[in-house]
Amino acid sequence: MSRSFDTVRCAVLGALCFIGSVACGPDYDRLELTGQKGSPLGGTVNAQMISIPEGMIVKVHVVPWNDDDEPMRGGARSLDTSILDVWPVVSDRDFAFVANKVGRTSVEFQANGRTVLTVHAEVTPQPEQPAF
Amino acid sequence: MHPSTIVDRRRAASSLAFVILIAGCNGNPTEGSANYRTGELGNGGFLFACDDSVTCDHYSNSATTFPHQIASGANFRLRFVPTNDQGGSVDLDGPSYQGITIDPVGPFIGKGTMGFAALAPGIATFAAKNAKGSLIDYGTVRIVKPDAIAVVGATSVSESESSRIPRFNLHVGEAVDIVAVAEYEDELVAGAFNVAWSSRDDDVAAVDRRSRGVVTLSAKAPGKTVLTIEGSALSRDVDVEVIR
Repeated sequence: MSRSFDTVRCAVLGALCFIGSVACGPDYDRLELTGQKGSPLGGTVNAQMISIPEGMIVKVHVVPWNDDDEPMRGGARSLDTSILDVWPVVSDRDFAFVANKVGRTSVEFQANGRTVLTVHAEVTPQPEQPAF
Repeated sequence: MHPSTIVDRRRAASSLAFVILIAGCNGNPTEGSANYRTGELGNGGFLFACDDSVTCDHYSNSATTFPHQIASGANFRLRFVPTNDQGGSVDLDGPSYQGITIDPVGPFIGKGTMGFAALAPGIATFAAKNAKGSLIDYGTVRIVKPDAIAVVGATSVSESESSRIPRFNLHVGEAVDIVAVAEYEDELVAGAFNVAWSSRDDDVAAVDRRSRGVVTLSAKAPGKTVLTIEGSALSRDVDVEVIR
């Protein structure tokens, strides 16, 4: 009886330690989108919205931070790549937002593989006679 | 000297000559030169070429200009030169070029077996990616629908206004090599451009097609005629006068 009680007590203690360690670990805090390199026709990528003219690319430096002020592994993916795609860039933590065709979709930003932010995205038509 | 050493040296010399030959043919322009479009990310640049029309000769790798704009419907080729491989003579078949692809973005240019095709007017983006699919760099070029045809001397195709030929005054027996170039808002436009040539009076002056879009206009007898060039839903008449 006391032996099985000890087993249960150890299991509960172990579970509490595990939960404690997870709960006390650094967690996602914020997302930084910096170093935007726009297209000749402009374009916007920020945490509120993404808007890029059709056929254009906008490059952005994407860094999620945890609450210990350490950078996390970042990522971004489009829910409709036929409208707007997201490509990795050869430079570290840079992503290219590629406006394939006019339309609307959403982009999910990730921190350590977990979606932390979803942003509405639109690809707009180019002006009739775009200045270049 | 041992015979095998001589053979080795000959092999080395021939290999070196081959490398120089290849490199010479593919010598890259230096960064900032006119036929080199620096990528937006600063990781390299793009070279423009199109070789199915003499119109493109001006924009070939040995020429001087990356085009400001390309005619819709035209075919062309692009080549990416990574930053560290600029200048001098480099082997474009070397390892740093393996696996790099250039893809079109959006509906304005497409890619097929003939290379790139300018599909619709707009600002088109082309992107160089490595074998892993990561973006190395990208550039843009304007695609326009030509609004006129210009006649230009075949040996002096350039974007300067002076190279355009508004009319011909020829002596009997004289012949000139000419090409048709697409125009947009009075500016010459790059890209292969197929046209049909005809002379209203072949007895005065006749046109003979040569290769790569060049035609020879030959003055046969004194008189006046009109040279007509038609293509891409455009037409141009050029007056020709032949004197003794």
